[in-house]
Amino acid sequence: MKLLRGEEAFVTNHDLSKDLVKIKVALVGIPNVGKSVIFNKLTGGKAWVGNWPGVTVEKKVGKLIIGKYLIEVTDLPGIYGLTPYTVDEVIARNFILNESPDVVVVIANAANLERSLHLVLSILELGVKVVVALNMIDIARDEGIEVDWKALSRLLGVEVVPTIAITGYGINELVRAIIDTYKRKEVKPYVVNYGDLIEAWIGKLVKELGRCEGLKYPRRWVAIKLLEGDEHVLSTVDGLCPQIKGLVIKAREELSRELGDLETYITEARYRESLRIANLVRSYVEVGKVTITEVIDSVLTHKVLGIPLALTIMYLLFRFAFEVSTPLVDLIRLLFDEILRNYVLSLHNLPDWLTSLLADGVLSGVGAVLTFLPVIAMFFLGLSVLEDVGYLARFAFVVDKIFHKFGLPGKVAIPLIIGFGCNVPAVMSTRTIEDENDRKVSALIAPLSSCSARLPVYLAIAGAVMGNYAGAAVASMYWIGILLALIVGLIMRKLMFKGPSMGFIMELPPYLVPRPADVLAKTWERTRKFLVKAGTVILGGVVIVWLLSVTGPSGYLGPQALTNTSLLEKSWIGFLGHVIAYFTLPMGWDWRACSALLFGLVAKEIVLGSLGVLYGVSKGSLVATLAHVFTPLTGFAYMVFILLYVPCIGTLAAIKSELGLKYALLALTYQVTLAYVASLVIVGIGKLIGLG
Amino acid sequence: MGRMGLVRKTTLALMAMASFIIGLAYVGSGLASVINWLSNWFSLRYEVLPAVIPPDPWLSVVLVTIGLVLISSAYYLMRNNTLMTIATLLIGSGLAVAVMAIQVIATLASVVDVAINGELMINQLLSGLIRVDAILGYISTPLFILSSVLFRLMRKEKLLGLTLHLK
Repeated sequence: MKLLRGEEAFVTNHDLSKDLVKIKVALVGIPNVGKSVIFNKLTGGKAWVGNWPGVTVEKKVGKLIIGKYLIEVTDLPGIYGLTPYTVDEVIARNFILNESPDVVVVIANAANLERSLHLVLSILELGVKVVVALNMIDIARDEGIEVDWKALSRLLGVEVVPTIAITGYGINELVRAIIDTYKRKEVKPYVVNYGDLIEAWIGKLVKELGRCEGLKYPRRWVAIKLLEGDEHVLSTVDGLCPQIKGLVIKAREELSRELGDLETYITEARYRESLRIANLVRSYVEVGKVTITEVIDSVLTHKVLGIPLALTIMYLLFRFAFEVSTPLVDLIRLLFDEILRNYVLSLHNLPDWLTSLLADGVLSGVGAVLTFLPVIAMFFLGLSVLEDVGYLARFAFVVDKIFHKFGLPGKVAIPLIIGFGCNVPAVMSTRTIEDENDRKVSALIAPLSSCSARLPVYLAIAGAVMGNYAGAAVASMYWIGILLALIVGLIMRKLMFKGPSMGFIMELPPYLVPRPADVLAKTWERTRKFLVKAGTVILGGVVIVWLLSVTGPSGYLGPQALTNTSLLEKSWIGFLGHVIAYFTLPMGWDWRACSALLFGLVAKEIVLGSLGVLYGVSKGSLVATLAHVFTPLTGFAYMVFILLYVPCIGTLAAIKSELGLKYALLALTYQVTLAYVASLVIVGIGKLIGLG
Repeated sequence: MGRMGLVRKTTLALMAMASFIIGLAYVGSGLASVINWLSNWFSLRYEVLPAVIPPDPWLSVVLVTIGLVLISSAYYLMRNNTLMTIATLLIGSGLAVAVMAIQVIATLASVVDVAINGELMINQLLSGLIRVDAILGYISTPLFILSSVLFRLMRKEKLLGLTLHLK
């Protein structure tokens, strides 16, 4: 049989779709079990892969063709069960319930079997066709665990395929198992025994549900969910047979009196069953052998050494990013400053306005931003390595205690770290946070994490005025961002989103040697986004800045406005800059620096491009120019303002889509206020202690 | 414990002692870096080996941290916790090597950078390679290699594992 994957499968799909049998497959599993890797191996796709929980925050679809079958695979976010606590769990459950996949592939972790089996049982209770991919059998073996997958298959009554996703082991067998399971006519739901009391009520409810016409789900599963108090199922059933509500209330009251919290009781019963099955099929071949993960974790997550070690690892990341990239930064600067700009200026047959647009607008603006491309690429490379090694999850664990003092769970550390790259995925990654209040606060404070777009601005200003302390000043932006995020989080938790915070619940993945291909792919993907932005949004932004600089309320001023300060002051940009400069008077910023701030709303990178255009220079000369524009104090205050003021449009859109317009406006308002106050305080204190 | 186990444990004890001494050097350098930073900040004229120890507060945190991890290997040895002894040896010396590697790479990058601008580069190279984090990293490299080998051997021979205590 010929196997086609990804785009190849799509192309072929158009030609052969009439003859193909379509199989709809859902991939589910607990977080960080390797779903995305299996998805990529199955479909030839490029789903984001990371060694930490919560990598998949949205469902992704890919296809493969094998023989006469077109298999459409949907990768769902990681879930622990079918009770929807988080947005991820809602997405996954709704897909399984409403889209009715032909086969559900549950990826189980062989090294942590009972946890995965809980999910397997939850899905089997639904009466859907299931294939279990028993993943990470290599890691389980390393830990001295052997799983009898044939026995597991017999016990569960479904196909079980051992896999090592990262190497592709077992993937072809998995495809075959999917097709075989699809062909199976009969599906027998797995019956977990919840004890006599509950079983008696399940029986009564199942009987009553028999009268509900149009009920799509298995009656026993619905009865269990009703007893668990699942609101979604309750409202569905209420619409079909309202008479059952009274019976459910009675059952829950009676059972709660006898058994306590019913949802917990049922979950525990399912866990007991999972553990029973796990113990039947699992054997320890080398008891007492220590894993490398345990050894490393005993130090890296140490209660005393954990935090300073986290600081050390972050130091390594930043030094790697900033210092290793220096020669590349210089090469790009040479390209833009010396070669391209001089070339454009030497073209005498071009009209003046076009020469100015290309040299002073496009090359100065885009060049100033692209100069920092190597730093950003190196930063992403380092971040991807830490992510794939499995350290980022430990980072969240280590900082959990500190975060809890601010009323936030350690999981908030993950959006804040992702935010170092870009605030948009940072806001989206808050979906993995179970508690709604925690989630809202996390999404609102995520933009305070210093994204890569702000980095070029810091580098230029710190390089200009901070001398030997440039590196420390840039690094301090990250710490100030995190500190203020925690303080704002605490205030929001106390005033707006009251209630207890959830404890730390997160799967700590085993340490893995990162695969260069994955690391490079991720680095490229993140860097590419920056490049695309530089070629589109930033290019557009600097052209607008140039236009606003050469025109004004009195009409066209000409390119000479860029070299003539008094003429530039008469331009639109001069007008806007003076308005903002009126408010930032105490900070002592030049009106051109104030104008540049305005464009940061579109994308933070444009701030530097705008500065390049407004001062009529590109990066190398811009740094020298900025040394005359800022003092160390006003420069530092400007950097803090850049860090804190308004999220970019993309981040605002993400907050709006996650939390709603009200919260997007709240983020906008509080960040502008915070930026203004923080900069004012910095300048005030600085002057007070004689730094002015 | 067999004869082999005794040999391994003796080697581990010697390594922990070496680690203790190197750890002290790290902590001392970290403190010196803070002194140099404060001296620069308040324009005092007292600096400790300014040619080798840069005035960098973040670097001082890193140096003190590595020092504490290395020193703690001796502490765990005294408490007879073999696993933590070797774990702190591995992580401490591993980080020392990583910090040294970054310093060497950063120095080479800055030399290339200076070369692009057509300036003399020998001074740049020397000053980068004799910075305190690089020097202590060179010294820690044999410790890292030995502790990795010892860890593998002890794990294979099941001399580790029963004393594991995670927090």
